[in-house]
Amino acid sequence: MVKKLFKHEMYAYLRTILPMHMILIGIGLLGRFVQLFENDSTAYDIVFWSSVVAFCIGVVVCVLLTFIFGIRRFYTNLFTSEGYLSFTLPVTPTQHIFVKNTVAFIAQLFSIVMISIATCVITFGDVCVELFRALGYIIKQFYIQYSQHTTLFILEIIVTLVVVISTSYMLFYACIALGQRAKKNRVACAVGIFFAYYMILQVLATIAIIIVNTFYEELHIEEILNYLYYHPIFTNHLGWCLAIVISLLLNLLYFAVTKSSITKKLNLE
Amino acid sequence: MSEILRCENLTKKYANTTALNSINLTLESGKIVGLLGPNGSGKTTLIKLINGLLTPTEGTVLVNGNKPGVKTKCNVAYLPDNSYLNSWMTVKQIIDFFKDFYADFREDVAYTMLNRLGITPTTRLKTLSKGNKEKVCLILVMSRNAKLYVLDEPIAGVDPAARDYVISTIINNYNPEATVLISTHLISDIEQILDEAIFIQNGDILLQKSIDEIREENGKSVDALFREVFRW
Repeated sequence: MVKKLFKHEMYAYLRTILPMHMILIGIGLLGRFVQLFENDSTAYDIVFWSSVVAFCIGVVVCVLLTFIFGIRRFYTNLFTSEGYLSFTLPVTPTQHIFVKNTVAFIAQLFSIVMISIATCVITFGDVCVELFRALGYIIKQFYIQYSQHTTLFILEIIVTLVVVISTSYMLFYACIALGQRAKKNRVACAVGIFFAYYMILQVLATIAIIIVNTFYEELHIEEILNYLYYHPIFTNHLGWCLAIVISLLLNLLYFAVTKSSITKKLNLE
Repeated sequence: MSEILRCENLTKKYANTTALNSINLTLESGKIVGLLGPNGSGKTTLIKLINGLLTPTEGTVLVNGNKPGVKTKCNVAYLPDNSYLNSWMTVKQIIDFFKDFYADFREDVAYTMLNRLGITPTTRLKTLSKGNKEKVCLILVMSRNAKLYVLDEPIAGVDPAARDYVISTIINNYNPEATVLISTHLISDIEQILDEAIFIQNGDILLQKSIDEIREENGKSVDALFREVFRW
């Protein structure tokens, strides 16, 4: 069933995000075409910069819409009239959440790949070569600074990105699912829950800072900071690993909240 | 006959409103049952509970001995009272969707019925009229070889000719060993196909009897009895 859900979910995404990204590549092609007529005239400058601005706006729109589509798809497919079909399929809530989250993540990756292709198209030629050279230089510098740790760092960064993107979606799913528990204005409630949750996080962070400042000596903060400062490789590994673990824990928490709301409190109107 | 549906002390409350009030109900296989009651009597709430779209406040629903879940969803074909299809899909895509998820879906039956209606597989659902969209929904549901068909107001808001189409589609395509639960308040149109009737009002089951029993005991049709029981 998961395979079938994947198939239909992927199709639902592709029919929206593929044309959007193809348009972006089209804008890239147009921008590159404009560059063939490079000269010192004002007319060229206007057309050239317009194509660059259009491309930049296109990139922002593609990133934002792909992300918003992932959230919207979860809501419309499960909590509007489409939910009558989704929740009468012989599929568990866990499978629904898992597939929605994974496909949303794949869509984000797809968006990144398509934007990269579009960037290569609009910069095709010397600029593109320079971009790749700069990327190679950055990686080389990493290897010089961290030697054999670089591969592990790159791996940690990739895992962090995967987990963070998945967790971001899961947070929105949890808010939407919790919002469904309200008797009316469920979308507004979901938005309210999202902002309330962020405010609580801010308050908790502030309290943590106050505690650390108050018990600076008792907690041996100075010594810990010194140790971290003089062991940058360890500090980096620790930072990335902590980011992965915390994000994973939050992911599990949001998943549990979403699943519990769907399993125990589903109330389709 | 085996039991297909059992509700025990089933209660559903929405804030201060009790939609279903500790009802007990049993349905056997191989019958067409009318769930009859005025608007707001609790028909749709009961149907949603059977399909796992609502969670009971108290009590249990068992479909073929199982609580609503993956197992029961394989056995229940549900027609909601509103259009629930993705409007961007074509008729063929929605048929493929049903074929993928329901092992009991009969693709050939669906295409035969669609062909009779003159709806081509490449037609987008959003281009269909409201009436045709409802017919496509009914065709999808009745193309399943389910154990329990739950149809929520299938003839509400359709013209008399379309009502005949809906009723003939149900009669000609349901699995005879299955139970069909039809919720409606338009009794005269479906009375001739019912084996059993359930009267529901304000979340309480007032009556559950066979159509023959109702006629013999009361000397009147189900429609006439309904008008008498639910008179304002």
